[in-house]
Amino acid sequence: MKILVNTGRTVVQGSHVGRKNSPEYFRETSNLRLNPVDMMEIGVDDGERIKATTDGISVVLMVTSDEMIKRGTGFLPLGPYANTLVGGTTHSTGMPDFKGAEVNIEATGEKISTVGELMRHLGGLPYGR
Amino acid sequence: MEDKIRHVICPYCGCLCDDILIEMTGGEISGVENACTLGARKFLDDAGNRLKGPIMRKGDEWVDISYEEAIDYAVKVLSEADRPLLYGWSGCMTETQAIGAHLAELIGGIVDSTTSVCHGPSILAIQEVGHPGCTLGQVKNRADTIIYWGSNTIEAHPRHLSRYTNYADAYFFHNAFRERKVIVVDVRKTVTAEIATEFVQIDQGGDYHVLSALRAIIRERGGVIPDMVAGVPKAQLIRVAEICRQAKFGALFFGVGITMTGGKYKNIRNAIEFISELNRYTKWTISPMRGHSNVYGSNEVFTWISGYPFAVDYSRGIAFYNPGETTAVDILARKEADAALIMSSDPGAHFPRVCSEHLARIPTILFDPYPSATTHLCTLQIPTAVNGIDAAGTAYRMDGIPIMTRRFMETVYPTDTKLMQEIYDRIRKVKEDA
Repeated sequence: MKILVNTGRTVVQGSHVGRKNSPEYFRETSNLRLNPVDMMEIGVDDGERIKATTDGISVVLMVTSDEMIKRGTGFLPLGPYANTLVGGTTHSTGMPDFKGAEVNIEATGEKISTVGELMRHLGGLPYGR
Repeated sequence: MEDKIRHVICPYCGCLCDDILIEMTGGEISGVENACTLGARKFLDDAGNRLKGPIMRKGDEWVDISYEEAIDYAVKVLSEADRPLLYGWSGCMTETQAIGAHLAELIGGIVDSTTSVCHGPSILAIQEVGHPGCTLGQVKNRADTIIYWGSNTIEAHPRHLSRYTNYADAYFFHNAFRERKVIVVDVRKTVTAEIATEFVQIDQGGDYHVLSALRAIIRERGGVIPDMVAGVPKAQLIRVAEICRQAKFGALFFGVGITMTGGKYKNIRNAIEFISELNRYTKWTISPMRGHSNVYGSNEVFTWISGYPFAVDYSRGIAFYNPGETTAVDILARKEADAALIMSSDPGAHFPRVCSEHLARIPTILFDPYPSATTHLCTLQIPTAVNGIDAAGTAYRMDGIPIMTRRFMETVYPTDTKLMQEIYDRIRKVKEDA
């Protein structure tokens, strides 16, 4: 299913920006909120996982139903998971398309990467002390 | 021993709340009063969360190094780089920002702040059509109509409503809460939308259309508008336009919900021109909801020094500014930078994937007290004292008011100002000796 993913601040995400490697930040920023009807269509329940793909790049996310979300859209708190789905084009403004990325979602049983693992995929070395 | 410190400045967001009370027990923060959840966590989570000293990536492991070794490395990398990017600057004080801009000039680098991925488009629009703004004090005491457009204020700037708008007492109102109207425009029904007098839910990317329709109605050209505009019924647009026209003093605040969507700065230009139309009838102002505590300060400081507010490229020996070319995301996405200095910012969490990949490929020096997403990408991280806790300096509130932050805790960490000054002086000497 194709959806438009919107991103933004949430209180939980904002409260943990000083602890980006904490379980709270991980759970919040990897949590995609979807309309319950869309979740029924792709066959996932609250707390289950989906794979979101755009331009050949995928990231595994947890889903939560939210009736405030319009059908065909999703909300993902800003952070490294959301930005995996954002391209580097800025249309000559300096600002990438953080809002409204067109993303394909499907149910998956794959594991969600931690922030450190996500950065390892990008060429980094997780720091864990 | 317990101690209470009053009038502390919260260094989290652009509101820079100046009425925070901190309780200290045994030299550590044990309680916070008056702050919102975001600000309180900033203070309370500090203890035990900081890096103990600089860390450096050597092959497949992280090693502890001294501050002297860290500075030596930074001086070497930055003085030898051909196209260094100096990015971040929104969580540090203006004193450090000034050194950053001068360092960029010294090494022929690019200095850009987080502005380019928050309200950079707003500045581009202001450069085109001006900025009819005002201080938050004016809004608090005079505004009877508030619009939050693309801003989930309750979650992003939680005290904005209680200090300056909906819930704030006002000098010119008997009962400000009952007399003010709040209009929220957003693509989703946020918690802020739930307290609105009027909630306008628009389709994703429909900001430009809705603003154009409102302008047409204000100019009495409503006849050209179709029955629905980007998901908003025409009847609601007419109602909103009328509320705006009837206001004695209106204030529109816009968030990154409108700067990041398609249209970017053209959305903001349209919003400013909507305010201009309203000023034919009554008094309206418009202001961006700045995110980081001192992102506004970075625009002020870079403008004093270079003439440009962000994305300043010194590679030609003079200041050159061309957002879309000299902005951090573009420089990294084009794989141009051969070294990066990241000051109190986290591009690993907030930049597109291609940019983070490039940061992991080049020598990246991060100044941040805490481990962040960028920690995993950088080559060297240097922890500093935390601005607003154990370091003080000047920060600019979102309405352009400079405020001195307070240092209320003893520290063993050097400030970012001290470290940057040392790096600048050392590189200057290297350049002079060469």
